[in-house]
Parts: sequence; structure tokens; C-alpha cells
Amino acid sequence: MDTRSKNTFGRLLRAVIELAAHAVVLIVVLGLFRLVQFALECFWGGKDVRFFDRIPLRYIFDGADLIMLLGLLSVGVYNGVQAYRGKE
Amino acid sequence: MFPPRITGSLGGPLVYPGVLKRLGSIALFYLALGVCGALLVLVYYVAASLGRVASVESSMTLTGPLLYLLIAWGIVTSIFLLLLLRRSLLASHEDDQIFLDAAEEHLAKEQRELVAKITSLSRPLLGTGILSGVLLLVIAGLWLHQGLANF
Repeated sequence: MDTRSKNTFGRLLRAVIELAAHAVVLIVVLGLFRLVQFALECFWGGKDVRFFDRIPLRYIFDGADLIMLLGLLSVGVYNGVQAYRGKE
Repeated sequence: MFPPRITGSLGGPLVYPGVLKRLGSIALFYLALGVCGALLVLVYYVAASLGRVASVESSMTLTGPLLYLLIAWGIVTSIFLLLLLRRSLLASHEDDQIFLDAAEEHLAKEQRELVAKITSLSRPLLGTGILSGVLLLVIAGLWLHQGLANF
């Protein structure tokens, strides 16, 4: 394997590790949110829980999931690209 | 930068020492994002409930021009990301050396072609990047307008 191929492989490896770390952390945090949602649903009894009889609990957690996924798509991918480019 | 990177730069360590602490920072970052997302939904509902509650349900669905704009934004942003990826791939083959020997003219020519390719990508990159940003602003504006109209 020549130096350039080694360099490319090293860059790719760093980018993959960076993205994998973000993905794993996000899965754990999403799992935590799901657990809290499940606990709240159990506590209130029923799937259609609404705050103040108006705000569906599911929408609040869906909003949290969406923003976190957007975070992975923006910051996670940015960190991955920076790792590939070898920049601090 | 926040969240911190866990991998070192090329030539340095593959993974920085204290990786668990860095992973914790990343987890905190996503946790904070999640809380912000939940708060956004709460604020939206509270603001909407001050007006007509029934309109909230209908405004959550994506239809009409907003949907088409979102599709267009997705396509433009995908093209932008692909161009960005291509440029970074080309840039990774770029060498930082001067060819003084005439026998190495073909190497110099290769590098000149590479630089020309990278330069030719800059205009489409700028165009799609600006278009993506403008489309995102239009979508946000339209979404806010719809929300305020139903308020």
C-alpha cells in the first residue's frame, strides 16, 4: 500500500469513527428520550397523553427526535468531513 | 469547537485520549438539542393555543407549495453535498510540491488539470449553496407565514 492510499484509508477511518461515535451517542440519547416517553405514558395511563389537555406528548418527543437527527445531519457530518480533511 | 472531535488529525493519534469525556460532551450536545426541540414544539403549541386551537392540527401537515419547496430544497442540497464531496476527493489528490525537472512535466500537467477541475467546481458549488440557503429561508418564511395566518 503506497503512502497516498494509506493516507486516504486513514482519513476515511477517522471520518467513519467520527460518524459512528455520533450515531451511537445519538441512538443512546434517542433511547433515553423514548424511555422517558414510555414512563410518562405509563404514569398517565394511555397512549394519547396531552399536556393541559391540548399538547400531545408524542409531538413533543417527535420534535426532540427531529432536532437531534438534524443535529447529526449537520454537526455529525461536519465533524466527519473535518476528520476526513484532517483539520482540527 | 463544540461538540469536540474524538479522532486526531492525520499523523497524530487515531482517537484522542479521554475519549469517554469527549463522548459525554457529544451526548450533552444532542441532549441539549433534544430539549430545544421539545421546547420549540411546546412554545409553538402554547402560542397557537392562544389563538385558534383547531388550526394547529391542520398546520402540522405538509401540503401545497411548502411540500414542493421542501422537495426542491432536498434535491438542490443533495447536489451541493455531492459537489462538495467531489471537490474534497479531488483536493485529497492535490500535491504540495513544485516540479522543477522537465522529465516530471507530466506530473506537473496532472496537477494543473486537477487544479483546473477543482476551480471549475467552485462556481456550481457557490450557486447550489446559495440556492439551498435561499430555498431554506423561503421555506422558513412560508412556514412562519402559514403559522401566523392560522394564529
